[in-house]
Amino acid sequence: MSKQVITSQDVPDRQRRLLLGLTAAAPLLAGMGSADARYTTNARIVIAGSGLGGLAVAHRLASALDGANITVIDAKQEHNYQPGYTLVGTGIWEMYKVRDSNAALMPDGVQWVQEAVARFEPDAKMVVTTTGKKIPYDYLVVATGLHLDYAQVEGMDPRLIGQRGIASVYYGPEAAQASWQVMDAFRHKGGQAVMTLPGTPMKCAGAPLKVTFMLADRLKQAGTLGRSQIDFYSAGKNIFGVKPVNDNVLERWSTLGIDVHYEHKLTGIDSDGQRARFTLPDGREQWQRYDFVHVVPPMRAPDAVKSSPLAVQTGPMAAGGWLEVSKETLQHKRYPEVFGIGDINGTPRGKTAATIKKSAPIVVHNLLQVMQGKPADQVFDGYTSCPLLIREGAALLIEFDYEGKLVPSLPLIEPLTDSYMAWLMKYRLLKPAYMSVLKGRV
Amino acid sequence: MYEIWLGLNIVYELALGYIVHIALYLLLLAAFYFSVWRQHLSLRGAVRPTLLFAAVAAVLAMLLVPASTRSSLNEVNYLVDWMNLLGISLGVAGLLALLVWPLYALYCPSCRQGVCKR
Repeated sequence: MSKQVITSQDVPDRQRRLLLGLTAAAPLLAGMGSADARYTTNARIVIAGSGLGGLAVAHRLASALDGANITVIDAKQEHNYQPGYTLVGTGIWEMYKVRDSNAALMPDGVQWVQEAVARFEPDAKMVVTTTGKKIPYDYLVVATGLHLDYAQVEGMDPRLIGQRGIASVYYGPEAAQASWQVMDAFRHKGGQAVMTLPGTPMKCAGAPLKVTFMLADRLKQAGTLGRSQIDFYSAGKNIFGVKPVNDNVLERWSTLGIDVHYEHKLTGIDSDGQRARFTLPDGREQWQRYDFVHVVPPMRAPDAVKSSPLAVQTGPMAAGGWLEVSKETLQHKRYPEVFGIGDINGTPRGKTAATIKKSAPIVVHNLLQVMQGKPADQVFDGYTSCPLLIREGAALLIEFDYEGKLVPSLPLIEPLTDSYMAWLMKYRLLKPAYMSVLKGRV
Repeated sequence: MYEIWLGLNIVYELALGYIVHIALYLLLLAAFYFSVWRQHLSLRGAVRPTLLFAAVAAVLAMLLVPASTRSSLNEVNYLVDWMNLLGISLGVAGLLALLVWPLYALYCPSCRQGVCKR
C-alpha cells in the first residue's frame, strides 16, 4: 500500500483549500436556519406576550425585517422554561433551571412595553395595556399563553400549593418546587394519592400523566408503593387524546395498580379536611379523601382575549374564549392582519413548546406573505411532542399531529418503547433546543 | 437537514453553559500541541496508545453516561438508545483522546529519546 507524501508546498495549499471550503460553507450553514430574505417595511408589528412563542416570533421578525417597528407587550420580568416544571415538581431538577431573565432574551431592535395587555381592539387595530396605554398596530401576533383557572375549583387557591398535601406543577417554578416538597413528604409515608385531569383544552397534556408516573416511581423508590393507593380522576372519557398513547399508559398504570376514574371533574378542594370533590356528568358529587393531591386546573384564554372580538364566537372552543385562528395557517379567521401562536390558539391539540418549534417559522412566513400582499401559504400540521416520563431514567418520545397520528421525527424512533434517549432529551437536551427555538434559529 | 441543524444548535446552546470548561480545554489542547511542535516530537508514535485509551474511555463512558444523567444502562432499550449512547460515548472518548495524544507524545520514553522524532 502506498503512503501519501505531504510536502511543505502542499501544506499551505491544503490550508487554503480548507479555508475556501469553510468560507463557502458558512453562508450555507447560516442559511439553514432562515429561508426568507430580509424585507424592508415601516409596518408596526405588535407581539402580545413574551413566552416562547412571542419571543421566537420576535427574534425571527427582527432578523427578517428592515425598518419595522416591532413591539413586544408583556409585564413579565422572568422567563420560565415551562417544560421543566414537571422535572422540578418531581424532584429531578432544581428550580433555578427553569428561570431566566426576559430582558436577556429580548431581541435587539425590539421595543418592550413592560405592561400586561388589558384588552384587544382589533377593529381599531389597537392594543390597550393595563395602564391605559394605547398601542396601534398594522399587524398583531397574539402569544399571550393561557389562563390557569384555579377559581373553577372551589376552595382551591394557588397559595395552598405546597401545603396540606396539595401539589400543582403548572402554576410556576415556586409551585413546582412546593409540589416536590409535598410529594417528597408523601412518598416517605405513603397513603392515598389523588391525581386530576380537567376537561378543557390544556397545555402540556402529558404533564398530569408524567406526575402520576413519577409519583408511582418515587413511592416505589421509597418502598411505600405497596401501602399507597393512586387514583387518577379524568374529567373526560380518556386520559390522553392520542389513542395509542392513551391505551399504552393505561396498560402501564394497570401494572402499577393505578386506578382510573372517568368523567369525574374536580370541582372542589377541602384543604382542611384533605378531601377533593368531583362532579359526575349527572350532577352527583363525590368526595375523595387524599394525603396527596395533584390539582390540574381547568384552562382557558386570558380575559383580554376571551372578552375580545378575537375570541372564537361559536362552537366548542368558544367557552374557553380561545383565539379564532385557522388551524392550518394560524392566521385569524376574521382579522387577516392577526396571527396566533402557542397555547392561546383555538386549535385542536398542541399546546406545547414543540408546537411552537414547528409553528413559529410558519407564523412568521405567513405574516411576511400577508405584509407583501400575498396569501398565507404555509400550512401547520399540528405537530407536537411530549417526552413522557415514565420513571426516573426512562421516558417515551411521543410526537403527533392534529389528527392524533404518531409522527416520529426519525424513522427508527419507537414512540411507545421505554427509552433512555427520550429521558436524556427531556433531562438534558430539550432546554438547549428550546433556547434555539426562542432565538429564532430552528 | 433540519435535524442536523437542530442538533448543531443544541450542541451550541449546551456549550454556552460550559464556556469556561471549553476555554480551559482549548487552552490545554493548544498548550500540549504547541509543546509537541516546539520540541519537534512526532505524534505518530502516540497514535496506537491513544486509540487504545480512546477505546477504554468510550467503554467507560457507555457505562457512566446513563448514570450521570440520572438513568442507568438498564434503561438503554433499543437501537435508537444504543446508537445515541454510542455517539455520545465516542464523542467523549474523542475529546479526551485529543488531549491524551499530545501528552503521550510528550511523555512517552521513546518519543523523548528521539525514536519518534520526525
